[in-house]
Amino acid sequence: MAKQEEQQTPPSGDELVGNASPDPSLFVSDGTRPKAKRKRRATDEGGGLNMNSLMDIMTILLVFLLKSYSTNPVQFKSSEDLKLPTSTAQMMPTETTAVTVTANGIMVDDEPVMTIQNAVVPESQRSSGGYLIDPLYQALQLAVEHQKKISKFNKKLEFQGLITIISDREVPFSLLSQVMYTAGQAQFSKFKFAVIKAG
Amino acid sequence: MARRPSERRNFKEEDMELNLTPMMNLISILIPVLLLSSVFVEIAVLNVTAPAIGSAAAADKPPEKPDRPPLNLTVTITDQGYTVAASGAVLPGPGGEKGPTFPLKQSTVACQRYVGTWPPPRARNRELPKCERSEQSLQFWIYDNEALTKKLAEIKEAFPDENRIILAAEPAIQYEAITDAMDASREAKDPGGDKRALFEEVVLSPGLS
Repeated sequence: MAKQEEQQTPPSGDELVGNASPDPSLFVSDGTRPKAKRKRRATDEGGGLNMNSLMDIMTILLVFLLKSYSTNPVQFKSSEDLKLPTSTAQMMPTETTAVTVTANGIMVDDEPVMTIQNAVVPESQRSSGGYLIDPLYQALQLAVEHQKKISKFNKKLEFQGLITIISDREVPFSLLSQVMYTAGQAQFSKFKFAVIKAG
Repeated sequence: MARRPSERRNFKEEDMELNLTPMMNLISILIPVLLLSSVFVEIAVLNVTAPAIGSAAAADKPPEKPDRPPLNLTVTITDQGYTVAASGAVLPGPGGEKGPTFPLKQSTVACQRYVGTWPPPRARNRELPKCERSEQSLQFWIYDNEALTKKLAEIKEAFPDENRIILAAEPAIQYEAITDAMDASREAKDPGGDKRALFEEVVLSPGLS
């Protein structure tokens, strides 16, 4: 019995839908002309969206974004393994060589130098009593040579041994001191730690 | 442009509009790209001088000043707290000579800066529940930055010319604990809200291993 009822219900539903759906003939008979006319007029006017104001907003946004993008000397991409600590420091960052240190790798000026695991550089890549990180040292020496070459031709850009260290807040001091020692060996003697300005 | 004869007579000057669609495409792609890539946080820097261990640059340049008998004010960061020492003498803490001058203290911390993690020292706080939301305030072990600032302000009053502080840390100490200590030793806030410079020249000494 129940099965029969179930089988019966769908057709009844179909009937309902069929009844509810508009019958085209009804509409045609009921004043076709005015409707068609109105429709055509609407399409003639084009009905285009006025984009001018939108364009204004977007252009201003674009200019603002481009400007903020270009003025910041320290660029870093915040990610899961690179979160800067917060500090009350007020000093503005300057354009220098930047070393990015995270638990998973080291970068010099956005060029990946090496990948590491758990913030430990393997012994095989360190020398001088375990303090000098060899791949980083080579990358930094290249950067120094590059800067010195530039300063030969442009006296304003003298090599000052400044280096910005952009480091994740959970990096242990052991890795950080190795990075600093390596930078010191590569003639970078003044460090700037990038932090997020608080308040 | 050639027109059909019927068009020649009935031709109406249509409003010529610039086709903005390609421009819109460009802008609507550029804006999300720039929005995603730009970081809306203000970056500042902390100045730090090189560790004393032989940096090549030190040989190139003459030393900035002949060293006067220095105070050698040293703050050592360990997983137990801060130890303040100067010229060989160590400030004893509540735990006697052995313990840190300012041991870790338990305090309620606003989670705003630490969503998804713990405040430093994380090795100690790891057993406690993490910060989940920024509005939370939870109990954590923290470094006693206020006490350090207060003590350093006293030392600064006694040695107004001294501007250098040596920070040392255990190898396992996290970077954030070091920047926090730098903040605590750079300036003091008077009760009135004025800021007073303390020891601005930070020398980060290599590990204590």
